Amino acid sequence: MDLQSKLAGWQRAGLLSAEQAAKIAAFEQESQRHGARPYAFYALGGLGALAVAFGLISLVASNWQEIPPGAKLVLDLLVGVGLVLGTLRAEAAGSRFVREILLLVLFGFVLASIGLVGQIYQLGGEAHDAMLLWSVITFAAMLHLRTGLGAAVWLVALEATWLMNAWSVIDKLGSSKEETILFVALWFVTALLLLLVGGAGPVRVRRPALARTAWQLGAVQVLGMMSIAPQFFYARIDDFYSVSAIAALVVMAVSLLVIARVPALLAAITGREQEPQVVLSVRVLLFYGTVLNLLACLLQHPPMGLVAALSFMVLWGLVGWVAYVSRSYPLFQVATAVLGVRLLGVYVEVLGSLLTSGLGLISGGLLTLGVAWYWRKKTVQMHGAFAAELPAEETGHETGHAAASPPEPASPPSGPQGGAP
Amino acid sequence: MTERRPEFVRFAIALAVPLVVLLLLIGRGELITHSGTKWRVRITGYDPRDLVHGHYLRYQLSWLWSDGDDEAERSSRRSRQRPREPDSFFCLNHGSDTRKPPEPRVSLVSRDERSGCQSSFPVEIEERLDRFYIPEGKGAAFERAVRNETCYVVLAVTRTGQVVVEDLLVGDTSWRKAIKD
Repeated sequence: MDLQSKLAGWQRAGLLSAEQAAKIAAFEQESQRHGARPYAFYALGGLGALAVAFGLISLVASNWQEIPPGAKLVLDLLVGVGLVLGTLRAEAAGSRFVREILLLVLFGFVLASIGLVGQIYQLGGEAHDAMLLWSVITFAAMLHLRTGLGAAVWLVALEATWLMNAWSVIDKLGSSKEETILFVALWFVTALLLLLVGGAGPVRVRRPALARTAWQLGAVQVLGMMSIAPQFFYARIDDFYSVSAIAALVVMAVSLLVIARVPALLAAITGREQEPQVVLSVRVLLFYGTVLNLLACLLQHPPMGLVAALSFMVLWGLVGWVAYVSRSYPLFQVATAVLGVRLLGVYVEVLGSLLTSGLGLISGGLLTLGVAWYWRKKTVQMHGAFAAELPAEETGHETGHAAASPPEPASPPSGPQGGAP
Repeated sequence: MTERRPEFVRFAIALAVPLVVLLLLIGRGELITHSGTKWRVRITGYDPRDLVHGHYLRYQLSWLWSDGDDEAERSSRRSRQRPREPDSFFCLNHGSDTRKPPEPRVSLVSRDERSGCQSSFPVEIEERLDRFYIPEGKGAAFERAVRNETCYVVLAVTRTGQVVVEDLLVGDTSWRKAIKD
C-alpha cells in the first residue's frame, strides 16, 4: 500500500486531520527528493568498477605477447595517470559517485600493474608478497573511499592480504593441525579487531562508511565462526598442542577487550547510549561464543553430537536475545529462522528406525511449531513496544490521548505474557 | 575551495603514491637489467606433472658447481642437494665458457669471501628465480622445450647482489624466437 492510500485510510479512521495528512505527504516527498540514494545506480556502478579492475588484472595475467614490454609499461603508466587525474577532477567537481568508482578502478589497476612489472622483469615472489605491496601503497588513497561498497571491497582485500601473509609465516611451522589452529585463531582475532575498528570514535567521525562496514564485516565473521565452532563437537579431538594454549590466551584476551568495550562500541555504532540489558546480552553472546570456540576446537573431547546441536542452539538463542532487547526485528527473524533450520537438522540426525524417526519428527515438529508461535508472539510485542516508545509528537497523539490508550511496555517484557499472536 | 585545499592536496599525494612506487619498481627493473652482469644458468623441470602451473613455467636451477669438472659430475650434484647455509652467497665466476652470456662456475661462500666473485647474491634470492612468466596458450610449447631441449635462464646480477631473470633460452636462442606456437 502506498503512502497516499495509507494517509487516506488514517484520515477515514479519524487518526489524522486533512492538514496533518498533507504535511506528512509533503514531508515524505521532500525526504525522497533529498535523501533518496540511487542504490541500484551505486550497485551497478560498483559492479562495473570491479569488472574493469578484474579485467585489467586478467589482461595482464594473459601476458599478451604482441605488445612489446616497454609499450606495455608506458601504456600502463598512462592509464594510471589518467585514473589519478580523473579521480582528482571528480573530487574537485564534487562528483561522489564518479570519484568512488575511479578510486576502486585505481585500486584494481595498481594490483594489475604490480603483476605486470613482476611479469616483465620476471621478479618472481609469491602472490601474498604482491598483495602486501599493493595494500601498503594504496592504503592512504583508499582511506578516501566514502561509500559502504568501496569500504567493503577495500577491507576484504586488506583482510585477505593480512591473512595470506600470516599464513605464509604460519605455514612454516610444519604441523598442519598446529598451523590450522593458529590460523583460525588469528582470523577470529582479526574479526574481533574489526569490531573495535568499527566502533573507534575517530574512525566513525572521519570515515563513517568505513567504520560501519568494518563492524558489519567483523560481526558477520565473528558470528559465522562462532556458528561453525560447535560443529567440531561432532569430531574427536585427541591432542592438545602447545600452540593451542597460546591461541586460547590471545583469543580470550582480545575477546575480553572487546567485551569490556561493548558499551562504548554500541554507543558509537548506534549513536546513543544503550540500555544495560542490551549491553549485557551482547557481552554474554561474545563471551559464550568465544568460550564455545575454544572448547570445541582446542580441548580434547570425544564426538558429542548432542552438545554440538545444543551449544549451537544456545548461541543463536543468545543472538535472538540480543535482537529482542535491542529491537532489531530483522536480526530476530534471522535468529528464529536459524534455530528452526537447526531443529530440522536435529530431526535428520535422530532418524533411525521408523519408530524413532516418527517420534523424532513429531517431537521436533511440535518444538518447531512452539518456536514459531513464540517468535510470532515476540514479534508483535516488539512492534508494540517500539511504537509505545515513540514520543507523542512523532505518533501525532495528544499526551492525554496517549495516556488513555492501553499501556504498552516501555521495554520488552521478559516473559511470554506480554502479547498475543 | 580554499578551505578544502589542504585536504585536496593530501588526496592528490595519496593517489600519486602508488604511481611513484610503480615507477620505482620499473626503474629498479631497468637498472638491474641494464647494469647487471649477464649469466646463463641451465634449468630442469623438477616435477613434470606440474611443470607449467598457471601462466608461468616452474623449473629448477641446475648450477655448474666449481668443484664439478664435467657434465656428468654436475648431473650427479643437483643444486637442491647442496645445503644452503643461512647468510651465505652464490659466487659466480667465469669458467671456460665462451658463449654469450656465459654459464658461470658457482660456489657457496660466506659474506667475507664475496670479493673473489665476479657476481654474487644471497642464497635466499634463489627461491624467487624458479619461475618464468609465459604468455597464455604457450604452456605446452614451453613444457616440450624444457623436456626436449637444453634450456637456460639468463640472470642479470648487479654489483649489490640484486637479480632478475631476464630471458629464457632454448639452446642459444631466446624463447621469443624459438617458441612460435
